[in-house]
Amino acid sequence: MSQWETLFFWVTVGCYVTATFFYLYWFITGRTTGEKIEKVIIWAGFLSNLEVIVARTLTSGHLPVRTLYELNIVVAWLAVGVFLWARRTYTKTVLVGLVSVTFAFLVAGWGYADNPQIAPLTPAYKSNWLVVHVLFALLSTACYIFATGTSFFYLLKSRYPEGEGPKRYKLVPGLKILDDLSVKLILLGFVAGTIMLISGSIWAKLLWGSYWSWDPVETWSLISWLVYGIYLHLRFTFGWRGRKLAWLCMACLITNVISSWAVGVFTPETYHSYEGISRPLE
Amino acid sequence: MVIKKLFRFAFSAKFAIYLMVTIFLYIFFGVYSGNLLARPYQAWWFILLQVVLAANILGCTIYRFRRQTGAAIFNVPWEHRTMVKRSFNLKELSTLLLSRNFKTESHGDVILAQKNPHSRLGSMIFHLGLVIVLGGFAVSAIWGVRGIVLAPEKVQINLAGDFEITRKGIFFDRDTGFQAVVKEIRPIVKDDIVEQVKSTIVFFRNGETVEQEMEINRPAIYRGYSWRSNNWGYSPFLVIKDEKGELLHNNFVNIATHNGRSFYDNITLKNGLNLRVEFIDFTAETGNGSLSILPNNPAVMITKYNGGKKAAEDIIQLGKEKDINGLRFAFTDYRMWELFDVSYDPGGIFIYLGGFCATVGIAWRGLFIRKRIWLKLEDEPDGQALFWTSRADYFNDLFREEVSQMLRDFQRGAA
Repeated sequence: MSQWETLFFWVTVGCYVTATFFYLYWFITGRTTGEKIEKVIIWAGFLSNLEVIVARTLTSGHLPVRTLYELNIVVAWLAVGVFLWARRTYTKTVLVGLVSVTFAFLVAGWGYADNPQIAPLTPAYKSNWLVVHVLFALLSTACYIFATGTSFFYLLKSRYPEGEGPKRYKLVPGLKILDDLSVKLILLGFVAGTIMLISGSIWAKLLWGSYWSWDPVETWSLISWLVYGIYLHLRFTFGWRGRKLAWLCMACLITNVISSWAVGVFTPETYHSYEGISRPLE
Repeated sequence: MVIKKLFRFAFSAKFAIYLMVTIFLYIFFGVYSGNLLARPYQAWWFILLQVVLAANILGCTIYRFRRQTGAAIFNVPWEHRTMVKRSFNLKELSTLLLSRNFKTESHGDVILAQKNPHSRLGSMIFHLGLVIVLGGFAVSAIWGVRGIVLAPEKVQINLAGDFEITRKGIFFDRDTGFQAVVKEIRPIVKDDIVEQVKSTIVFFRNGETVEQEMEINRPAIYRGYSWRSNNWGYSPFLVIKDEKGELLHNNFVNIATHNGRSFYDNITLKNGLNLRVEFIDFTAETGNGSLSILPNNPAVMITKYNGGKKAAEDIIQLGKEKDINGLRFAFTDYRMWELFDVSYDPGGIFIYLGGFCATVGIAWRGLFIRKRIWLKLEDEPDGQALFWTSRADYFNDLFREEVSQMLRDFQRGAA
């Protein structure tokens, strides 16, 4: 890690943690005190996170899509990016930052604790598909995180009749809007997830000679994609709404988290690990 | 009647959900089935399940396509009534909607503003793309072939004879009558790390010669066969004789295991003796060997085992001979080898096409949602009433909020 990268990394984490305290305070008190200061902090964190990515790219000579640390700083940036976009586009979504921004500093910190050292790109990574595959995978996760945040607030708010309940729930949109937002972000994540699966499959053919090898990571990605596909069909075709859809959204995220980070915990025999891509298991 | 009902169910979204859930549960189970199931994803009924899903998707898509064709609808129930000023002008509102990419058409006094009218085609293209991808997999499995070919550097190999087939489609009948020579294998090394492995491969067939450059992630393609680098390594030529001078080995040894800078393998001689052969770089000053990806002074380190225990170890330089624990070793030559995954994949074109359709379709459907607003202005004793109804294929509530805000802004003259 270069000095610049280290500096910006800690600025990023500091900003995200501070912003999270704002959201937590707002959630507890039900008042958005100091929103202007929070806006400056979260934007500073977002730009500083971008600086970390740029510094890493310049130092390593490749986009940061190789190690756990690199992937985590990118997904943190995307999660906050999706949150900021949604906040500008839809009113009263600021409290979702409690989920998205918390996620961002946790994954960034985890990546740093794991190993922030630069790993070289072995020949397996020398493909243009790498960037497409990884970035869309991370973008889908960022969208799913935001969707989970809105579902989380849906579940909290829906415990009270519309218009009632503690003051804090006035800071989040109405239930119908929360429901729609959650589905919208899942749809966007599903688009990104589809691109991730297809680009990964094409890359796998070039690298491993087979579009699909049923490696545990591939299989979990397919499981996650299928689960979100089922979610969307249940909503659009069968009209599912409300609490059960919100619970399903939370459950779907588990499959995404496993496919992105935890496959190796349960099935270490993968050739798709953060240690490096190897040849397929025959 | 029953058959009609069954037919409808088979091509319904409800059945698609059941299939998806079944496939999801089976895939999940397959990951952790361990020894319970051998090759769970090659089971005939899992393949049948995918075929049924493809048929279901196709049926659903055709049904939806038939349902979606038709003229614009104008007789919708009015959901909102807003009192507006006398000066409120529908034409100006139409202009505003046009600037927001809505296309307007009128029928009597009703105006229909519509955005992304063909968005639902995206969903169909996405689902058709998935069917095409599944079809591509089927074509490759039925008419394709996959296997491995070991090619020592500068040695001519014949695909027909040297192709070790690992999977062959039942209708595969592609010509394998051509030869190939790996002219050169060039590992690109920087800071002691292999950055890329490049190879020059020459194909021969009936007097035709085609030379191609290939590397990892960029296979060579000849007559529909893709040649992809799977593994590579060194082959030292070893002559090994016992105490009586009997020849135990006189050939190249393909060292298949390489881990970082270490290239090693175990071989068993015809008298049952086990040896570990490591390909190393010899350092004349120290008389020792060191690990290197591209050795300057190639040497082999021989480790002899007796009953699983290490009996002796020594280094032999290229062109030298040495006695090691009662055996005479000579290291006379070396070359590189490359292992290729060779496949003929006639469904590939469908997989690419289907993948493209699925990507474009889902992006089209997900990002360009059909939105419609119906508007009607009516004179009332106390002013004008604007009747309006909004519909979005997805996220209707969000869209209603958006329209409501737009109308408020328009009335305030801020739009």
